[in-house]
Amino acid sequence: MICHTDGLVLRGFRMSESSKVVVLFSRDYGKLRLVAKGARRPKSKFGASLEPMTWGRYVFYRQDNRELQILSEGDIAHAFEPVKQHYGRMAAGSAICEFLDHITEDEDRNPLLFSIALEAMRWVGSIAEIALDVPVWYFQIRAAGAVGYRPHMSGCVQCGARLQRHRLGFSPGLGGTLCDKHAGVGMRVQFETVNFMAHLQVGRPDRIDLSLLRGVNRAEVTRILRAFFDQHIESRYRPKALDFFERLRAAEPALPYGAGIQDL
Amino acid sequence: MASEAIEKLIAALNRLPGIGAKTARRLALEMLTWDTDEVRELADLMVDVKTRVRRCSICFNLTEVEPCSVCSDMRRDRSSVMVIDFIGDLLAFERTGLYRGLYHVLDGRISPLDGIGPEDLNISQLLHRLRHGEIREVILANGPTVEGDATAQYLSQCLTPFEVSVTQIARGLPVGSDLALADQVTLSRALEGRREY
Repeated sequence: MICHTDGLVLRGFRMSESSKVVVLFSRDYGKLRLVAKGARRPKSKFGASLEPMTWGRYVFYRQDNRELQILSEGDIAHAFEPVKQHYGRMAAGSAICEFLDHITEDEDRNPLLFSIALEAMRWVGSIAEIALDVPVWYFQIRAAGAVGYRPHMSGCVQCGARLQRHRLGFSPGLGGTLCDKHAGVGMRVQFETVNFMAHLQVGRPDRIDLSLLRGVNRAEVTRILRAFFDQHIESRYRPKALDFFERLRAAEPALPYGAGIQDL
Repeated sequence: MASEAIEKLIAALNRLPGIGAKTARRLALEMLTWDTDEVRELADLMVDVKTRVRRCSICFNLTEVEPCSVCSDMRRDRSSVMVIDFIGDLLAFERTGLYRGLYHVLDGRISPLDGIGPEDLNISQLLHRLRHGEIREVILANGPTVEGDATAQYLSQCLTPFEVSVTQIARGLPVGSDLALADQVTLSRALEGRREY
């Protein structure tokens, strides 16, 4: 059967001297593994459409019970060039693609997740460099919701109480934030951090108020998300691109979000 | 199963890139038709290559002598170094016969998805060459991929403190291709890299 779909290229592997396998997250068929014959040749008809972090329109021959489908055509819809042409943005985009690859099963259709991924990639390309972590956090948090394990951040996951400023916790196992009374069973977290993470759950990138970043502890967000996904995703997840991105961010001078916030 | 020895040979050949099980079987059976001396010569050659060929300590080219034939050739332009990802790229540029400068093989590309960072490549050795050599131009010839571009971006940042001219090989259309069928990324790279005619 000939199939047409939009998709985001997550990564590619060399298959032979001239061909490669592409992992595509498609809007209509979920994650696909596609063989692109001749894609490594200089005059390949696929051109740049199979580069990671490319949103394109693809045609492939689909056959049931076959792990690898045959890719026939690829046409670029959006190459996300601002992401690919900047070292830090490329690292952020790679972390998003890796996470998307990891949290999805083959051929499990999820158009909402697809549109969240495109939103996040666009945002990586446009956001101020100082806040480059935010689209990655946004994608992780919203993608978790789209695949069914949204972290509970709007109140205490134990008793439902409103979160107070002075003492908060987060429990990866229980899947959310904890109030003053129950914070003892979780990791200690700051109100600003939790508040911003909860804010990321509710809206599209253009509705995110980056002034809420003031006071957010970057390392704490990373620690919370790591602990949460370690708990809820199969334990074999060893993120390489996310590690790369976080090392890159950690190597930069400590960014006091408050200092550059007016420029966002 | 034909024989344990043949099966072992097929399995060994099957480990080579581009050699599938059928091709491995065909090669193994072909070897059986050779004279023992011919097979021994091939085996000796493989062992010889493995034991004698090493990496040049300056540019990481393959060599039997130290430094390699490119680095020790005083007729080459020693003020120019071309940075490439893999040894295969060096061989491709040598086939053109146009480039007469030196090389530096990085042995990979920066690839977050594969966990390959700058520290995994021969970048510090390149910077050492720049500090202690007579290099005036660095030509970035990384592959035209996301990983190649990331490597070039990282290198250009590293090269900023040095008084060298940093250039990049052209990106764009392959010779003999059809312009109308090129994608927008390839065409825009070609347009960006246009020159006086």
